Amino acid sequence: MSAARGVLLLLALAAAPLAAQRPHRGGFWFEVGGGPATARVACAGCAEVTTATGSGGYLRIGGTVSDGVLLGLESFSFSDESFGFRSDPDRRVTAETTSLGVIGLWYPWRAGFFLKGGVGIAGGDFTVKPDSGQRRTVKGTGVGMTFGVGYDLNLSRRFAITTTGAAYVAAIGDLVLPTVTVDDAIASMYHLTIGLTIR
Amino acid sequence: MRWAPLALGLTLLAPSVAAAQDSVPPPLAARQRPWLAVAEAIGVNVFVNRFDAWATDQAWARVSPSSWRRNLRLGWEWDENEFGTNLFAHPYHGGLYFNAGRANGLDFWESAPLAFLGSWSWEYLGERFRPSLNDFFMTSLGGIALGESFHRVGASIRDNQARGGGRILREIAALPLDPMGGLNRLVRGEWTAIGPNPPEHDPSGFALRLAGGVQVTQDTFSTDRDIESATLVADLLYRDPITQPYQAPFDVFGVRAQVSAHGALHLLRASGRLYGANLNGTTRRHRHLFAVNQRFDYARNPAQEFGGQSVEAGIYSRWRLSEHSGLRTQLFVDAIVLGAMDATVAGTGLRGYDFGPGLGVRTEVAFERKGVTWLRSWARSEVIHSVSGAPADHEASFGGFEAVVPLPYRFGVGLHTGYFRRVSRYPGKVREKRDFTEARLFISWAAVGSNALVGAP
Repeated sequence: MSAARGVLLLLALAAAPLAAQRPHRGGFWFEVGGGPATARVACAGCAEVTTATGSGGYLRIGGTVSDGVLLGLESFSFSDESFGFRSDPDRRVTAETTSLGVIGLWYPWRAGFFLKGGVGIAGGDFTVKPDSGQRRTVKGTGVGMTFGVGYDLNLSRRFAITTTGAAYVAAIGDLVLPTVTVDDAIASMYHLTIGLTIR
Repeated sequence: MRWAPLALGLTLLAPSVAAAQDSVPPPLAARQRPWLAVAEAIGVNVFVNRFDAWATDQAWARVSPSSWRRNLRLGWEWDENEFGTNLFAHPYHGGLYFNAGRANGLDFWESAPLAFLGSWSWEYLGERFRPSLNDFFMTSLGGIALGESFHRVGASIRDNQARGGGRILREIAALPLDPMGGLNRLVRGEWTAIGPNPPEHDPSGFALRLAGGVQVTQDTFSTDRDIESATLVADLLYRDPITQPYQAPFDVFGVRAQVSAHGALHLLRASGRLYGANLNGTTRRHRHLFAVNQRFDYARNPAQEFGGQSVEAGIYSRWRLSEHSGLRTQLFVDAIVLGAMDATVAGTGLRGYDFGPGLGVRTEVAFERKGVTWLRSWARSEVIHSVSGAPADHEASFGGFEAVVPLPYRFGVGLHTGYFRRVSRYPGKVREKRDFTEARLFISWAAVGSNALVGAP
């Protein structure tokens, strides 16, 4: 593990002069990453929200619109195996959300800092594991949205380490669980990631 | 009344068509002021909030750190506001944020984040209510569509080469469309300064047709009787997607607005080209172009409420039949990022319509002769999957036919027929449907440009 850290550090140091030459991405690019995430589900008529921590991953591909603007597609997934709706706290639920959307990245300066935003479709699966009986999965599909900030740390002309802090919102409609109905559910995921960018 | 300044401004485009043909120095690159743009977008929120809190004593505007903490903790919800507020007023408001960027030298894509920033900060910090997800979508995406359209119209109404009272009149006429641009220009002394026009100043690219007449509608669900009313339709087209090479987002766009005696703003549709590419050579007899458009829809009549923000991709084609005549066709598929539709059991709380994403397809065939479109027929079908309101899938179909016979002095006489059908499917329940038909007889006048049949993009 320490060797890997050392390699990364050397790569980062070696890449420092390149950062000035190539502030961010150009042409076709590809990015993959993951990290910890927090999910929060709100619903119509709910006085409180249900929260949980889990992990998430993403994949982005895209192209360049102008010097400072990129467009692409992003797929994001979140999973938590011990989710519990506040309105039904005794039940344990596996929660998974996925989204696929069109995103834009905007680099306001020549450095690697960028803003990210996008919209698309989103889905949520909530699997209930009762003490007895069969598992039951309820699904919701709806609209997704993301926004966040990030930074490309150049390793070479083709590779960069990208850190991102982003929010993902999945509005997936009603969820009818065995003992409770969650109306107009909106899941918000907050995701801190580290990823690899190939450009 | 909302459209009176627009009509005044657009008619001011007419004389500047000739002015645009004069030799004008090349425009200077606008200086970019991103931080000022951000400050102005936030400033809009501060101004509106403090006005509502201090001048009109609105309880919802009395925000505090505790309301901000609560909103940040609880996050998004769906609101129950009235259709016109959510589907029209919010997009107009979003245009202010977007045009804070355009007024400070940012381009389309650079200004787009400001619409999201302004909307997000308003939803979380500008109201005591929990942030509304539907407002965020409508304000941001609708703000970009309306904001860029209004920015280009405003920039073409204004003329940095004009002098005297006419110059001031132009600035005032553009103000309701692009308040942020107008105020920035006022502060910088650009209402009277003589200089080059920005690249968006292109009055020769516009065609505006006004059509007034009588409309007969029939709502087969609620009344099953004919309703007659006076109606006025404004069609605005900015450049031709077939002949205009792609340069930048919204370098081609179209708007159709309709007001009627029984419902004020009856229809507002706008579509702007985000991207375009030729699929064959520009000198070919038949032309085909791929395009991606951003759409804004707002339709409200006695039988239906439908609106939303969408993106469509498809092909424009022009088929030459002879030297002077031809067909134009369009075939597009679209994704509704967030749409709204009313139905008998739709909605939640005080709200009578559902929100949801959707998919659709539309097609259009038009016959043109000597640059004038005589006949046009279109069909469109959309499905909205409700994620707020009743659990339902709403299918909406639109179609119609329009014919115009050109007359001298840029007048014309025309007939429009259209239909709307909605079918709503609820799990475990009988599907529910509603039909709505309309016919319109009108006299048109091409206020700007030729007597081409434009609009309803």
